[in-house]
Amino acid sequence: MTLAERLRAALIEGHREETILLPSATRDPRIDGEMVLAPAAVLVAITDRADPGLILTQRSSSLRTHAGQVAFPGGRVDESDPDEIAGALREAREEIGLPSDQVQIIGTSDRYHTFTGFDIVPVLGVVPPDLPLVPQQSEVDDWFELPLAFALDPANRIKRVMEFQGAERHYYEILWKERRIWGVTAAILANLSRRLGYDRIAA
Amino acid sequence: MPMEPPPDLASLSLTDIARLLAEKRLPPVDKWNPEHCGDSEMRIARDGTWFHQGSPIGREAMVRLFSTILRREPDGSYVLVTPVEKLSIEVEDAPFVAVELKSEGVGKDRALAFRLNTGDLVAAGPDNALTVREGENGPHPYLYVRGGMEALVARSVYYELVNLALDEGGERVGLWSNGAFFPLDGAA
Repeated sequence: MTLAERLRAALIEGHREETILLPSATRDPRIDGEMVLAPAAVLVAITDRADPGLILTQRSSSLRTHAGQVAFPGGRVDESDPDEIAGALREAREEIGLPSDQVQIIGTSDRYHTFTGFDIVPVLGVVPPDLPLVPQQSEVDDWFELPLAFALDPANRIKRVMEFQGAERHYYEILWKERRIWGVTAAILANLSRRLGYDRIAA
Repeated sequence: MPMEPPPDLASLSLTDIARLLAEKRLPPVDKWNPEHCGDSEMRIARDGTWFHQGSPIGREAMVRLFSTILRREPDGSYVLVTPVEKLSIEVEDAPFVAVELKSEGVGKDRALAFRLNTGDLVAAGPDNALTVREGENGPHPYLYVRGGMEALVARSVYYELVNLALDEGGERVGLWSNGAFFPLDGAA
């Protein structure tokens, strides 16, 4: 079986059963009534190697927003994008020059709703190893590849709690070399870890 | 000297202070240096409720009024001060509570404005820092208000701040407001 076939089978199998997912951030209480979520998509780009890797970006520290954040390539789905998969591919092309025709789409996984109203769809894709990716200086400082198994191993996921008078908010942090992966990206990785069978929890 | 109930302590009339408030000017409490003349028998509880002789002061306008003549002394204690009187007041935690948050913009362009239980508005920024300090039972978030006085950030407001910070991502868990970065993860 190829990597793409194995991942596809694992994703289908993982989504077949009920699993305990990390709850999305609670909705912003300041938003009244039906919240209109902004569609967003990220590309979970997995490199086709014996020990598959995961491609992540490091955003510029000079950016006005999300400065220095480690993130999947991705962003808001534009009106011109036919769907979320197209949105994720376009963002990956714009951010790190990943050619869309090099991505073998595996499927999509659990949506993650952020507190501020983004509805993020993770799009899984397999890419050839050692593509000449080039960060676009305006948005992305750098990209890096870490072993997929490391990113999804629950043992590498540090649970952080911010608590004040019973208002608790948990988040995950994954530390790999000098990189710090936390927040939304770590939450999506935690969910993927469960769906892909790295972190089975008896439901 | 016998203690009069607080409404009588002011030589500034209610109308005077109300006028100052309406003009968004606070009484110049830092310029007044009367003799200390006793205890107000007032207390501000951790949740921001004001008490007088053990009973909560129900009138919001009264609390708002008193809050304008509240001053922090160099020794860290609190007093209610007018040009002619200075009475001590007990403060359990912080004299104000930030009860509502408004956030505009994202990332480094974000501006956070808080409404206090006294109705004052405070914009977090270089002069009004948001800090998280370790207390007896975990971290407590505070907002600098004025004259050495802070507001304890209410639980629901803190929850909003943390969620905004987690969405924001970045190098540290925290938020920008008016050009200053405020970490929320408690680490120094």
